[in-house]
Amino acid sequence: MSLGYVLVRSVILVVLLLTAFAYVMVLERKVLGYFQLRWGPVRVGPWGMLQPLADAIKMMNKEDTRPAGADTLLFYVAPAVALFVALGAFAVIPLGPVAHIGSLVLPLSVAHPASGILFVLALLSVGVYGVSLGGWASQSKYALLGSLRATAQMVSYELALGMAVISAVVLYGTLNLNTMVSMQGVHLWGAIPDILGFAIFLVGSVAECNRAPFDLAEAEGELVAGFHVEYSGFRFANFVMAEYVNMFTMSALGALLFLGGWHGPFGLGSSVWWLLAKMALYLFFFMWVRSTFPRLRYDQLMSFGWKLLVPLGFLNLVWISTFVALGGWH
Amino acid sequence: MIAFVIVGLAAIAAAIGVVTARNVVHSVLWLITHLASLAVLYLTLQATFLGLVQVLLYAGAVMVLFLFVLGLLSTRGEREEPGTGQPKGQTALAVTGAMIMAALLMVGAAAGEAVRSGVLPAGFGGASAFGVALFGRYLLPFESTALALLIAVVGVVALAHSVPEEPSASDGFDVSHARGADSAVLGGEAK
Repeated sequence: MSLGYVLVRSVILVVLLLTAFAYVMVLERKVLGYFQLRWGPVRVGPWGMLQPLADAIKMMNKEDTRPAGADTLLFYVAPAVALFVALGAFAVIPLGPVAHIGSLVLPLSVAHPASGILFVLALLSVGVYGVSLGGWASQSKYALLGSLRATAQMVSYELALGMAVISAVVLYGTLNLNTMVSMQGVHLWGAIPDILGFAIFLVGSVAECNRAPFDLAEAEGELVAGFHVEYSGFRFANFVMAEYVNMFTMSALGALLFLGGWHGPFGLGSSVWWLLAKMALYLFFFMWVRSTFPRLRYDQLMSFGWKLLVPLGFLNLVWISTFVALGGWH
Repeated sequence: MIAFVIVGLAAIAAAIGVVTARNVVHSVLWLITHLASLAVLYLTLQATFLGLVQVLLYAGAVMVLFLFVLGLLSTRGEREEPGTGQPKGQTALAVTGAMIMAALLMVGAAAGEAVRSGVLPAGFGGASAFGVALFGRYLLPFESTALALLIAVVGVVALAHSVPEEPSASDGFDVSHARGADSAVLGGEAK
């Protein structure tokens, strides 16, 4: 695999992800609008479809401000770290089975390491730094409080999320995302024996992306905008893009680990579109939750994570291990 | 091999950055860079699983806690640590360190020679090979390390929660002491 080949695939992936970001954002504003009995964006273009273009132009023309006390280098690097890590994690997500075009064999991911799931987890754990450094480098009270909250939250929920992922790894007996999906094609979907793991993954993924009701990091009511309060223009946009790309990664991971990946339900064949449909459902779940639940209080967040999700994760692991020891699907 | 040398030099540079940085958060960032370079070194040595776990645990989880604590502590006023001047006995320490390092390098080179003569087994560095080694041949060291860490955790909890027998009036603002004082008062009322 030559460097140019990887480069071309990476560029395609980045363009796809950022386009998807633009339209998922419009969709989210639409969905939130309908949930609140209003229209959402409708002014720019038909059905508000040119809204992301207008937003992008606005973002790029904004003054790039920096607080006087800020740590210059870290302040500038933090948004890039957030986006870089988010995009990097998606690089190993397989979007479908290996495609055959003539004699060409095209795997539908930029890279396909044997331990794909570990790679995603490793990058997600590094993803905290974007938020954490961004808040610290701003040297502003709200930003620092937001980043501390975000750090504590992401570390706590990463544990619950990790427990859910481990249950899937035990279930399939592999760290390879492709193998996991093909096993679900032969047997049942992962969520059927591992329903508790899937539930924990759902909650954990919302918390990992710092989205409502786990958006204490930006809590508009108390912290103005939390860790990115001092950012403007394109650096602010970087944080938003990172959040959405993380949502894509989480939805893809949820679909691959628990919902059969690119396999259709009831043996209805397999294609990339099934995976995209499942990701779309997952993303709708993100929006649905956001418009339904109020924000948790900080102590509620912590006790929910540590006293409920983590013990449940361990219990679930016991159940899945028993299931596998009793013969699993075979 | 070239990648190994470059990343190795990066790891050393980052390690020097950890001790020379005047700002604690910068120190932590250098340490993260160092740990990430180590992960890449593991990857170049075919230890895939170890490399990924290194990023996941050390560069990710552990260092985030470092940053978290520093974020709680640091304020605008004391961001730049003043230089503490030259500590004494640097030369002696440097010579001792260099000698230990040379000894380690010689041992390492000898061990490396032994490894180089063999061929890597199939699946080397993967999760299952790692697990078999960890829970098979190296089970005792692994479990004793876990025990040592547990002792450290228990020690920290014991030290952090020590309540003096007779709290004096002067440390009424300290939370742990205040709690002790409260319980003493409540106990008195109960009698």
